[in-house]
Amino acid sequence: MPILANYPNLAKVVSSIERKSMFQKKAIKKLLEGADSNYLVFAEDLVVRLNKVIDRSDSYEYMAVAYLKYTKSIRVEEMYFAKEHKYRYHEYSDVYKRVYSRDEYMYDYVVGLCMTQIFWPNHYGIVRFFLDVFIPKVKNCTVGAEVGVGHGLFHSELLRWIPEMKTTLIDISPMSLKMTQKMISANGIDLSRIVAKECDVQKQILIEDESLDVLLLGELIEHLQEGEAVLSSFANKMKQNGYCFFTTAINAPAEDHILLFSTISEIRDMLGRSGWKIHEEHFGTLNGMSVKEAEKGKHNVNYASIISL
Amino acid sequence: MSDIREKCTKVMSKVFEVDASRINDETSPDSLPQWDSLGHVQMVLGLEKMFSIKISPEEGIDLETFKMIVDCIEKKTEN
Repeated sequence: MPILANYPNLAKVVSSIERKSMFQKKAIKKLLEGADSNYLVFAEDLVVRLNKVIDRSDSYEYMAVAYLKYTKSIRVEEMYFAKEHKYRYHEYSDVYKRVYSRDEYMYDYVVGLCMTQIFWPNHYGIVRFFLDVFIPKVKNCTVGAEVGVGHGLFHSELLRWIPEMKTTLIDISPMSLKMTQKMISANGIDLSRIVAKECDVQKQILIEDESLDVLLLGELIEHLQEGEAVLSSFANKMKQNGYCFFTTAINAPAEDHILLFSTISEIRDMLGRSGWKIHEEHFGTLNGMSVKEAEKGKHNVNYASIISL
Repeated sequence: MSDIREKCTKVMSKVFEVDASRINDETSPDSLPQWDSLGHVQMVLGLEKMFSIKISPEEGIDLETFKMIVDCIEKKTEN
């Protein structure tokens, strides 16, 4: 593919994915047709970093397989959601058992999820919103935290672009904490800038009140049974002039999503009830449909916002 | 054309907005540009309705050619 001539690492992953999946081959072709240099540079850089994190002789093949495993699980849940109009699982204990408690499974899961930041336009859109709008807003901040660090992309970018920032990583999965630390190192960042804490934020939050300039709550709330309570608790952890980068989605079935938002208003209302004020928002829909069309047709909308007290 | 094949063609023709003449055993997301993952879900729902059958999500996502779809429906409607 000529467009990828200068992006050899990305090209290797794309080639592997295309050999294995007709749907993904088609989707990636469409994605690359509209790709600009910002996207290609980002995607290549992320593959290179993930290559260091994974550290396997077959890492490109592994990235492709993990991505396809993740997308297949999403497609299964999308099929379920289309029939039943609800997420399959409702109890945190179920998804903990299925996903977060299984280290090997989680590894594949977070690598696959990381790949979606490259191959899903809506996820890349959120990355851009984070880099282009949120980071400049908090560039002078020094104390941050992220809950649900996952693959570590957002955390490593936060530390990369704000050199004075020191942070706390919080996740229920020890594997995610390890992967995020590797991702941070792969960015050439000193790990003395971070503290990693393994905990379930539905039970306790190991952060002092009114201590945070910056908080990242990306793709967290839909995984929790006590989402609103957690949002309220974290409002107490913010300094008055601190900012939070918050993302979630409506109509977004996944094997570990339990909190279903059907409209953007539901998200906004929950944020309001939890003590947060919304400053800026970003939406990503499928196939160019409007948010209203997506809500009416029960289609996915990816949501991101910059919020504060 | 068998009744099953004809009905499967009808569902796919409607969901993907293509002429029935473009659908054959080898038809797949590779050969039919309109066949994307969003349309695939609608196709499976349409097949369930057309034949009054249940296709599990796990079965549904694996139906990647017209032939596989027809084979699946034939098995499910055998009895």
